[in-house]
Amino acid sequence: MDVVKAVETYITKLVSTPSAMKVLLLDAHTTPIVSLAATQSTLLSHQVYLTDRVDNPQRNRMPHMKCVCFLQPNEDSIEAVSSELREPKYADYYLYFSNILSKSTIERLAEADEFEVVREVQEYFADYAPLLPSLFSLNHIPTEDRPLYGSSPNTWDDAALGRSVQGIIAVLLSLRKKPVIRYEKMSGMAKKLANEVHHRIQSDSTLFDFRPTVVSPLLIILDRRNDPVTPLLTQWTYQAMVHELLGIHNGRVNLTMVPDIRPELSEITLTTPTDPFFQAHHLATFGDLGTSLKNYVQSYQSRSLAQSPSAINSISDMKRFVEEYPEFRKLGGNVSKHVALVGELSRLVDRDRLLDVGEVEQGLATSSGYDFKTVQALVTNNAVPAWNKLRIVILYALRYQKSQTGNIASLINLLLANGVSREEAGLVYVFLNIAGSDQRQDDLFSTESLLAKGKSALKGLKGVENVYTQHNPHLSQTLENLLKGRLKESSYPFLESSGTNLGLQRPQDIIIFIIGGTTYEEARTVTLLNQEVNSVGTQILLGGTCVHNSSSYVEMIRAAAKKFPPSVYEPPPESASNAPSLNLNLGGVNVTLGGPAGTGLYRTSSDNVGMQTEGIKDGVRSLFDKVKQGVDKIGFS
Amino acid sequence: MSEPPTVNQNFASTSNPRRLLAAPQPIGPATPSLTQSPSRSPSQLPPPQPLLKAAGSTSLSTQPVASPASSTQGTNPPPPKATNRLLAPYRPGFQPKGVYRPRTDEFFLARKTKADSGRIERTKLERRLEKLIHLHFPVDGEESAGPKRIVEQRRASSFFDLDISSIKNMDAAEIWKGVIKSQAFQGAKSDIRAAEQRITPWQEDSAASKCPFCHASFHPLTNRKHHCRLCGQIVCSLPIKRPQRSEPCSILFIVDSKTRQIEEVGEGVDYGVRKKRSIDPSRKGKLEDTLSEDEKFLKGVRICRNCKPILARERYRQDVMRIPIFIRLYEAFVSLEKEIEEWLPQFQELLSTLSNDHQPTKEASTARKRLLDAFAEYDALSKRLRNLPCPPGSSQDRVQLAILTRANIFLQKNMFPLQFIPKPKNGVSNTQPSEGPPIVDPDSELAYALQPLLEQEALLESFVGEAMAHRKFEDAKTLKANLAEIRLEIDRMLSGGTA
Repeated sequence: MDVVKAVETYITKLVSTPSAMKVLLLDAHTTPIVSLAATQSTLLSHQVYLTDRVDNPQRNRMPHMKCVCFLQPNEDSIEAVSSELREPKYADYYLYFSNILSKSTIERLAEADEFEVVREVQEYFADYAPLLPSLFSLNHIPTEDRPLYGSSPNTWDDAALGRSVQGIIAVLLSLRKKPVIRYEKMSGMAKKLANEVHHRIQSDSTLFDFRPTVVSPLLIILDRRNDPVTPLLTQWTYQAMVHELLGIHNGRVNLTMVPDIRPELSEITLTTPTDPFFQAHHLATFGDLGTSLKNYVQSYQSRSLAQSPSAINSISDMKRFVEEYPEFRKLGGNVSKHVALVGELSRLVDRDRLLDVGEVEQGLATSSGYDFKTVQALVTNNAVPAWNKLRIVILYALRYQKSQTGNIASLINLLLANGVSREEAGLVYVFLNIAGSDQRQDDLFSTESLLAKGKSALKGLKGVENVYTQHNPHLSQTLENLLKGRLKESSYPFLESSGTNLGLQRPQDIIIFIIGGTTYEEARTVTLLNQEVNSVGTQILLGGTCVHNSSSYVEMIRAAAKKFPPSVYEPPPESASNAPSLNLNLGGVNVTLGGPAGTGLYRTSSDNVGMQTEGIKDGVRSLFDKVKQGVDKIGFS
Repeated sequence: MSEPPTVNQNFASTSNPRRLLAAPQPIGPATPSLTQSPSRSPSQLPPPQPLLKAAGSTSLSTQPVASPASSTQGTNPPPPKATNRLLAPYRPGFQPKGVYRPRTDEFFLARKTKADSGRIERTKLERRLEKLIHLHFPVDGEESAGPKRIVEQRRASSFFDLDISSIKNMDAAEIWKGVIKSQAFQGAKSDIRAAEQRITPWQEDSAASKCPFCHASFHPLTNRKHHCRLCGQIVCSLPIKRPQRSEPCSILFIVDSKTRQIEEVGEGVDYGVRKKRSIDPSRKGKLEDTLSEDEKFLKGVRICRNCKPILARERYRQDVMRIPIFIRLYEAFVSLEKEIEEWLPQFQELLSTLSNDHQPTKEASTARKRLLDAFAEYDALSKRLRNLPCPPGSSQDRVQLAILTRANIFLQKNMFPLQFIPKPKNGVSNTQPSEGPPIVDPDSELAYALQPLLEQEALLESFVGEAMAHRKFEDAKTLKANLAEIRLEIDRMLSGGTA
């Protein structure tokens, strides 16, 4: 289930006919898809010499070029292509649509084709952006104009729902999967989407007429609200970090904000198929990345030594040089790209005190927790940007929603006193109302069940590999249960009551779709899991309405909250009796194993962590210094 | 058909390991149909839906795996053994080709039903257009009909049919006389009008009081009646005025006498208003231009808004028929590329057979020479394509640039390796030119030996420039040293050749 390959196959096929000079017309939706799946040279080798938007009125007449259109069958694109057909600018038209065309749309196009220039009309289901082999996105980043939520956090915006159904249908068709569907029970949106997708599969049964497999593939629809923590965290692996700090949009990163950036690096492409270094290290942690980059720079250095005057003495050396030179230059370009990128990342980490922030975040996001005083100190620290303070407080509120309501209120007051606007500080309560513990169905912080506590305590004793990557997204827990056949049908019901124990089967193809956007951290989990379980033959594909970083996620919630009833801005009603009773249940174990800061075992593990933190931090810093020195030596930056 | 129970049964049955083992065998024949890419145009294939339904009704297992490839499966009946509930085995690394569905047939059907309804009317109008063009714009060299001349000088429908450039010298009485005269003059031009009316029956003047498109009432002076020369309807010629008239109700077109190109003409004003302005002394310099524009206007043939598509279609047809030099060059370019791609493997093969042999055979060297010539020609063609004149920034400009890029990629991929692989052998023949068997002509031999060196020299020069531009001085220094070396070598060979 490689979505990159699936889309590539579609795109290559559609640009390869006819064999003549071609222009490729795209719309706002398909442009990023094509740019992710095909390079300029692929297009050129298929004689595509011109790529343009179908809604661009400035296009010149080229009566001798054939035209290939790849469009989403939405109202705007159909209108644009109809008016193009009424006054054709090119010779023949090959129309490809990224989703199912209705009969009336075909008639409408036929009516517009007065010149009889259309040669082909086909549906190619490349209707999603393939970001990684196991990650796709529907590229729907919610804004106030294009919302995801309706009038409450449990209802869809109609257009967004239609778009999501189409996207999932396209994914299924491009991979030839006819799945059984499960959804997260607490989410009304997940249930609605599951129903719509199911209905669509039934009504277009001719398209979904595949040979049944031994075990049906599984589509599992999740809601971001069940895990609001993952998209809020600072990221410490390469791809996720770049997206968090700079933003990756359809495989491109804008570096114009970077000080002293060279003009050719102001916008870079960062996709795994086009960049071997990125391919190898996009999942690496920041520390490992430093080592790899250093090696990369050194290998470049050694190769550039081979090109130095002393190394080229004869005609044969020179021949070798000339042969290797283009390759060498390419390598040089790539090295400077990654050096610039990683340099900027480390600058931002330094500037925004992200090492300190990240440590607290990781504590809050995992079962270990973090004490109130440090959080307080961080919020009052002037060196930490207001944005990071807000995130920390939201995390703190999500973590201690029930047990420390008083602390949450005082932290909000501290935020207001420390440069965070009233509107933004209000978001803390919005998060609690939208994705608080009453809205979630699972034990997000592994604090509730004894077993989970025991496990995390054990982990604490063994010591963690890296403070900054302690957090495992909730998705990994869900997947683990799913692979072991332990995912409860009561919380993740099947859409149609099958009557049999489908839930006990180990699914072979799992497609996860997260309403409200997924993250690169989750993509990393899925990719690693795929590598791990590959021998067993389970494949997992992750997708979402978009891929979030913390700012896009908070922005989505901020925009959505404006439409919700105004009560979302108020503190959630806390049943005061609830928190103590929970503690009572845990009894004596609570004393040794955690809870609010200050018990024996917890302290020791925390100290351990602290020590390791220092070590790892030092490691990272020294690595960066080394890399920088190396780079300076070559005179590269 | 209820899907989940079936699936479960299947799962239960396949829990038997023998069953699992047996499963792959009947799948064999299906696998090639998956990998085979359906290269046929889908319009030739029967629409997949009915076929699928038929397959679905017999049994699950006969359902084709790939819907476009279904015809191949459908034609040869599936082996009878395979009809018993057969499941696709799970193959982890395997990725089936995504579903695609041709809708071309449906589209063509819809287009045909639509086109049939208006076809008779359309062919009629197309024929009229042909006749009109022949009447007003006969092909050069053909006898030019007498009436045509008149049309060139005066618009037949012009109310003030007199030489307006001299209007300022006349007093009102004279103008009026001219008007009267022009009314009388209509008779002299009636034959062209009659010819037009023979092609198209005109609507009676009395039948229309308003423009059918914009509903503006006609007026003998401010809004005159015009006949569409194609459908005969009476329309106005008022300029665009929103919101009543978002596009003009009628347009004028001419056919260029030399290029036979159809051209739309801007609406001139034949009430003397613009004329007066154009002979304003301050604008005298522009007189020439406006005159030629007016001339076009005077020749223009009027058609209404409804008939515009007929004209556009004719124009489109002409455009496609005309093949500009750019296309011819491009065709040559592509065919040359194809030829080179065919030669290359042959040449490599030839090389590998020679790899032990130090002396390149005559065959090999001529093949190499032929290839290099082809590359040179290819390069020249791509440059010529790039340098064809075109407005900067236009689509044409972008296309030409893209072609050049493609050519560069192709050369980089194919020519650069070629220069160096056979070189050692050439190098041998360079140093001992007398020994090499292929001594045909000392001059050409020398030139041939020099060629790779010269190419390298040029390459190096460009690299030096690039290195300097990127301020990689160390690289540049190395490159310069090498350049000097290669120049020395060239000089040595030249002197050796003449000696």
